[in-house]
Amino acid sequence: MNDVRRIKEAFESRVVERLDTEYEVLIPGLNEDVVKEISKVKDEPEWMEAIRLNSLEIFKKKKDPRFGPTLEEIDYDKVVAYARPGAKKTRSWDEVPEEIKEAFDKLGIPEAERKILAGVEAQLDSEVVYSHVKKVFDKLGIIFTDMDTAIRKYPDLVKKYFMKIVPPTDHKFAALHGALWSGGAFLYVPKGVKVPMPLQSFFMVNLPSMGQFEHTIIIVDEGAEATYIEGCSAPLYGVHNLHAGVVEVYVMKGAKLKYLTIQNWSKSVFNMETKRAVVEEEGIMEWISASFGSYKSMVYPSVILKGKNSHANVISVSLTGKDQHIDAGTKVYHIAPDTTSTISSKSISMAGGWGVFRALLRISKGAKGAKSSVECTSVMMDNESRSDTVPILEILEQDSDVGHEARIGRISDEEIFYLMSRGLSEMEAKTLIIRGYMEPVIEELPLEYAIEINRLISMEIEGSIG
Amino acid sequence: MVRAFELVHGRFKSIVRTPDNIKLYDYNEEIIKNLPNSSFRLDLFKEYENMAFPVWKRLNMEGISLPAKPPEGEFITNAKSIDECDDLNIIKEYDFEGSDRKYVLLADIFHTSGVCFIGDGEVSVKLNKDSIDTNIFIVNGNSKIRRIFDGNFRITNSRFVVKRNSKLYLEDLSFISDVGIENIFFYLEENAVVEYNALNVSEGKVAEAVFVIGEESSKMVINPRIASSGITDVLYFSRSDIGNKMHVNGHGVSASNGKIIFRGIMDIKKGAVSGDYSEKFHTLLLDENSTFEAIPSLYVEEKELSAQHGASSSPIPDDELFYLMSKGFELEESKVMIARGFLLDVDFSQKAEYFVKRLLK
Repeated sequence: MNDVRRIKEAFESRVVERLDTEYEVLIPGLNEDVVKEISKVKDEPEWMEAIRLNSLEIFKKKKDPRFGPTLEEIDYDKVVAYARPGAKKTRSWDEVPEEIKEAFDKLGIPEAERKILAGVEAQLDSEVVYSHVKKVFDKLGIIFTDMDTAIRKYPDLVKKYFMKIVPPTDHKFAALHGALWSGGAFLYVPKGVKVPMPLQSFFMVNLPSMGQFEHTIIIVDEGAEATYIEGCSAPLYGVHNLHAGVVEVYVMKGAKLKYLTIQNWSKSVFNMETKRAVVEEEGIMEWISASFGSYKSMVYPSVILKGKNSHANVISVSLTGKDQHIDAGTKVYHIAPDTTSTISSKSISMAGGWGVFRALLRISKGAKGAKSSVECTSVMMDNESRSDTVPILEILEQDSDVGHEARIGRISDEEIFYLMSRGLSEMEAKTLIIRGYMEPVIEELPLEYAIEINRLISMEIEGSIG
Repeated sequence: MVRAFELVHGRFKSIVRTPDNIKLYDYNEEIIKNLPNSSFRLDLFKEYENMAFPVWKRLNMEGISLPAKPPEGEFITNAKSIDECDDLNIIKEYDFEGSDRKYVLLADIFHTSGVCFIGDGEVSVKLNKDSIDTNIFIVNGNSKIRRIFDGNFRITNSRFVVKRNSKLYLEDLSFISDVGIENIFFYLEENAVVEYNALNVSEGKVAEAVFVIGEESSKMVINPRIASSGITDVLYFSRSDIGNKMHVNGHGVSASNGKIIFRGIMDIKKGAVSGDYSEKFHTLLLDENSTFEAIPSLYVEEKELSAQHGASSSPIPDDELFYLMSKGFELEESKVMIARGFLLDVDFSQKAEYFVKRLLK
């Protein structure tokens, strides 16, 4: 408690200071000194400091987005930009801090599965605190490490791909990210390598008013295949946290990446993450996400189908509950001929929450033979909630075939009553209906994540019924 | 005033995007003084005078200009002129945002012509000259209204109030060569029924907004047919009550570098139970440089309803072309035949075919 108070005082005073607590470095506020301090603490090369300072200048000029939730509650001067936990990097599970293990426990990951977590990059606040890449990855030439290590060991590779498809000029939060980014994962899968198990990362905000700006780069080289699973969480604090991570994915010729996200930020988090993938010829990119958490979200994973015959598959489910305003969706850009995409979204609004599905599908001139299907379904569990659907289709190529459909699904009181008349409680009845509705995403997940989602659904329903 | 976007839910708000502005030559108070009902117009002018013209992102209005004086359209109709309307306050009573508030006010303040109809029966309205006009139709009973416009330039408002248990069949045929800004407002009282078939053919820039407010158990079906070799941007907005039925079933043909933008907004408020809502729009892209954009959106606060939307586009299917070509038709001839059939599948007056032929010539 004392630590929390000291941390709070530190960022309220807006003074850069070092605290001798479990957190080694705590930097609140947003200015050139803070940005330089982060770069210095992380012992970064000059080119990275230059990116940070350039991004900061861009951020100062950028305005809030002209759509989506209002964001005036974000106080950038109070956001703690960087905090490195006291825990040192470890290579064995036993040395991982107890609070991180507890977080995994809460996610419902069984004991037996933890052994497999040797492939996990778990990030507490801004720093990767646990990193154990299996020997088999080394043998296959797979690079899977934290971003700081990647900058030190593979500077040319990082420099080539860092903020190239999400440049700081993209929008305000990309610029903020460029200035303050910290932590994240770097994955390179060499040509022709098929990664034998899902790679997993887990991000967590663990300080009041903490900003989480992790940067993840994934490169799946020609003919390679990988599955990447990302989880994120944060305890509930009385002040708002800001998450403005960036994920950049490069799927090379004939390669395939399946990227799964389980988002369960606490309901004090502004989730302003940017995820983007560029897919070369014959490549396949799959974004699969399940979203439960955050206070306000603006997240639209994007795919740029750059190579001929490339394909994108985006499946998302979201559950928006009490005190949540979630504006999420996806963007797919067809640039090359014979590209295909399918977008499928399912959202549930309940307990007064406001869920918005937003999509952008663009078939560029020259993307001959492009085909796309966009489908979204929303369900309202009660009349205190709101569900909006705002897709945008831009068809600039005649020789293309595009279809979009959306509908508001209906779960009537009679259906719930029917299940209750068969002996189920209200919570069980609603949970059963929602699980069935979310099945398309749940069935894509490894068992432990499917269990986690089922638990999260039960928790949300329980919360809404009180 | 009815606005399209009410993006508030409890303590949460979403940003309503406002368009950037463009500086255009504008009309002033002096013009109003020479028009009938000037005090009514001057009252509206207070809101108008400080507003700027929008430059829409998708329908770029740069390059357009207002005529030096509001053009005097000449209506051929069996209805009264707008200046003979007993109560112009209907305009204020049924006020709406339209495609942009500036243009709605412009037509209400600077109209030089228009139609006023109150009652039931058959009405025909023809207009072959450029025009800034505003129109009122209060339908009480069963009515059929057919309207035709053929010209270069038009800024127009129409307000339809369909009284309790009344039925309206409305047909609009329009050919616009240069600039058209059309704002149409429907207010359907309890149990009112409206079928609206509209053919909008354009070689220029057209923005059309159709707003529908329905009271309990009212029903509206809109069948828009749009052909464009310019840019045509259409919006269908509805806000509904208990037991409403609202269906939009649109077809578009984008030809000769044309662009069609379809927007649908279905705003279903809490309490609008047992409603049935749908909007769908399919566009045929006739040539390599023709394009289509769609934003079919749903805003829903009620769970006891059925609501769906869909939008799609494609070139003319090869098998249909092949069939006609196998019967001896040339490729271009076959395309035109299919496009005509696609646009004229509803029961339009003969003039509709002439408009379509003119565009696809």
